[in-house]
Amino acid sequence: MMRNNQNTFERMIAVAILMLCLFLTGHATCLGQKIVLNGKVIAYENSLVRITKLTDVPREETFYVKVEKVSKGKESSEFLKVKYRYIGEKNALPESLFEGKNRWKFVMLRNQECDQTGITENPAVSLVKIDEDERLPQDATFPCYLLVKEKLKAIKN
Amino acid sequence: MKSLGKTLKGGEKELFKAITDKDNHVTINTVRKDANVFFGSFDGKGKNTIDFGDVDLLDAPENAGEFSAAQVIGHETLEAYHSAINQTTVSTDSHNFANQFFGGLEGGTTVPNSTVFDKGNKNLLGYKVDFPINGRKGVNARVTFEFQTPIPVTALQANKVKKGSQLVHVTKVEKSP
Repeated sequence: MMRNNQNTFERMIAVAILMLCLFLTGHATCLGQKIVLNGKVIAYENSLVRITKLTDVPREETFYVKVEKVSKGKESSEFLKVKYRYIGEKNALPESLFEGKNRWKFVMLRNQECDQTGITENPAVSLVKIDEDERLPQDATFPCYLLVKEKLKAIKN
Repeated sequence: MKSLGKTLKGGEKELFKAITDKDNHVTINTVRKDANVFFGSFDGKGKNTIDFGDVDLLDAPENAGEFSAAQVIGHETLEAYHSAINQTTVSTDSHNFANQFFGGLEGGTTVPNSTVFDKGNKNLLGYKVDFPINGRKGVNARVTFEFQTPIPVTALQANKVKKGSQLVHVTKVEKSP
């Protein structure tokens, strides 16, 4: 009996957290929800650390994607911020991702903690625009996602 | 041996377990001033590499008491031990395991105005990066890098420098605020 009450209580807490999350953010994707989409990388953050060989130190790539088609999950924003954290060069993203030649299929998990409003200037990091014709809106909110690298696929044009 | 094991705690206890484990074996390869190894590298399934050229820099007086040589060796050994037990080639879990006992370095940030250029400012020779030390909130290891082959400024400006392609040596480590 006590066990049942505890389970019910835990479920109620989980639903309450989910409702609060939806209420606060207005986004349908919440709490690490998965999204699958096609798009292209239009800019990435660059610094001297990025070109340095670091073998046993976690590193992070940050780039911006222009969404072309969402095939699973919901996302209304046209531009997304994407992060990918890894250790070791063999787990790095393909350099072709940052060359702007391909469109890509992305599988990503929502992470509201790194949502960003506007493009902020950082003296240690420069924003490299891959395609000069694609402009990142300077004051927009960029919903943030974590990339699932194993599912990343180039789409042939 | 068993009674000795009972007197140990934390990282020492984990290292003792690794040393006395008859079923899971660890191989630590060593190199010196190898630009492909930054302090240590995870090679998977019980193997790691330590660069003693980098590690020796940690015992300099200006770095005393912060990110130490013993910490790197403990971290790499336990990382290798974890991957030996789990027979994994994915480093994240093993890295996080080792961090519990011997904190490694976290993602770094370029130190503003730390870049060094040659005469005429045509080539970049080096720069400094602050790496937070895991488990030591607010403490960074400030690492000075020097390129084996200087990078032309024109390549930097055009973002033509490929990621990870520029080999660098660690030349100095000091603590920073």
